[in-house]
Amino acid sequence: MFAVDLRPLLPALIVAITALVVLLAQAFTPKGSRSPSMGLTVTGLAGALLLSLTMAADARYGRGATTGGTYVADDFALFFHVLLIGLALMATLLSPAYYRENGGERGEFYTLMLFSLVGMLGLVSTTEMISMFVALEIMSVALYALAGTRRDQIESQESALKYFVTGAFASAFLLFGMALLYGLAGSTQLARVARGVASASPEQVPLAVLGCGLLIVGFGFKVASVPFHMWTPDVYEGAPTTVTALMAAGVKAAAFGAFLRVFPGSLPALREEWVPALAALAAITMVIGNLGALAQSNLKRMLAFSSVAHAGYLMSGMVGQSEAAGQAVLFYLVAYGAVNMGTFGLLASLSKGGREPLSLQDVAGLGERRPALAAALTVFLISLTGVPISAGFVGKFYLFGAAVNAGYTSLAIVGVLMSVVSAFYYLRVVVAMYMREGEGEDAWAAPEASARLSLLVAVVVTLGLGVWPAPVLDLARAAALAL
Amino acid sequence: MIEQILFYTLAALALVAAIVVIAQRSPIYSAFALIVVLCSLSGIFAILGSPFIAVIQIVVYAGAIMVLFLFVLMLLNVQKEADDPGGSKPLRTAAAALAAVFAAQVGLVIARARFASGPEQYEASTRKVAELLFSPTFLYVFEATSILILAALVGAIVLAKRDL
Repeated sequence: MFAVDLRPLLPALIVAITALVVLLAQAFTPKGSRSPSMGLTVTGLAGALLLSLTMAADARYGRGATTGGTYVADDFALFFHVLLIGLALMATLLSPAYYRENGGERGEFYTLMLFSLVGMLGLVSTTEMISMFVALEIMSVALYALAGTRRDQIESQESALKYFVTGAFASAFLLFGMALLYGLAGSTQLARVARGVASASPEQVPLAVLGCGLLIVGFGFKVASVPFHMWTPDVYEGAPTTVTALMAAGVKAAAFGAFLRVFPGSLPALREEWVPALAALAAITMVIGNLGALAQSNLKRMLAFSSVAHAGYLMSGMVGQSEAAGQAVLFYLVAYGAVNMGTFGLLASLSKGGREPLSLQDVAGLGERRPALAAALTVFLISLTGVPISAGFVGKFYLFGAAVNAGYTSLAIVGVLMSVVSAFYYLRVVVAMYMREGEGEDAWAAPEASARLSLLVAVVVTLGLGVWPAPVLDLARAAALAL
Repeated sequence: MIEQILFYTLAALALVAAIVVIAQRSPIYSAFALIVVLCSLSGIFAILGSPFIAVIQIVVYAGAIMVLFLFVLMLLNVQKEADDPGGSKPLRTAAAALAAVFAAQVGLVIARARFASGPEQYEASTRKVAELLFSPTFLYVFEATSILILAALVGAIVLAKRDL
């Protein structure tokens, strides 16, 4: 018999067990009585978060351990564990009010969210391609269903179907790429793929490059980069807003985690091949994402294009040399995650009686009638633009710095120019909130305590990282070094 | 020699049937063509000395999953696909051209590639598969797959049923 170290799996295991408990509790709750789902979910996630923090603190508790050589709890994985579980916790706190206002709070919603979190945690922790693929599918399958949970709305159904079809298509590319790399290296372990690619003979190089290209297509779909972004606006618009928040913040973080582990982490031997491809993709992603956002009048669609644009910023950071690039991307994922959770969460918690604030006119007068919420939304939008003292500024500074150091100054210039363009559509919302008069009675809900707590955390993280980024930057550096 | 003849016959059959799957207008015919694809692949696995995978391929895919497909198609009474497959004509032409370029590229690269494990070191007996599947290396995959299936199950029920 062999002994297997199960410690790296523990946080994901707790999340999975919580999902099952929520599912069972839902089945045994009599109709009409208060559902315990949210309380159970928060408890489980808090436990998993505490455990991840403890593990990160000391090697005795499992930092650096591996399960079967395929699932690791290195600094990189644990950094993402804390980020992803934190984001899921925020989304959970935002959800009950939103679902109550928009019809049908159901325990299965929490179960699916927890399942998708299990997938995200696996995605950033595995060092083996089959595991990575299965984790990606767990995350995606749960989200396909979540996107369609507003059953009364045709947009929600459309969102689920579109996400499913394009997602399955993207998975096929990813799988094909993995198969080619396996053919080259004779193993699905990323470490052995790295060795196989590094020692590839000249006639094997085309195989490696093709595999790489297919992987870029697959990951490009998941992080919503141009030209694989077509699904993003429709899916983000149709999905329930708190699910959109999880998609924009969590999925992007997890997908970039795997992206970093595979590309700078395992394929440094092919840098000369994939860096120019990634740089070109980053440039068109920034341009098309921002120009697309300019044309939108629906706030959720605008934020969807903004999410595409941010995939471009993040990819321009990945062009840099592995360690600095990793640090920049990891830091930006924290900043971007908090901000996006906050923005979508705020829109979600304002919705009342099935009506969500979706146009500029819907948020007009918010500054006068709800000064605190308007201030919070202003902070988020300023951070998305990248104005100093916000997390977005520090993040973009490091991302573009990484690109410049790698010799891609033009990429940084495109990024800065496009950030200026983005100021127009982000600040348009701020102007509407403060300068325009609201019409008639205000149609917004008052966010309840749990949602307010979640938004407060988002504001504190956004401003905190803007003013004092050093601790998180250090953690991000340590995590990037583990790659 | 016989192996090679068998392989090329099965591979050609799989390719032709795969083209029928997407070219055929009637979903039922597509499903039947897919069965042919899966059976040919199963034959290829058998030639490679992996009877277990070959049988599983037939039992699970060509058997259970295809029966399910056909059931759903017949229950929904899906008729012939509408004449207009959607999308503008230039867009469809561009997609076909892109697919052709991609196919040529993949074909060229694979034809010239040298793979890590040649047939001489290849072993895929049932015993080997089981040893791998239950080894610590694939512990996570093995467990995660059950989560994946459960997530798909819960998701399908949530989408299909209005009230639980």
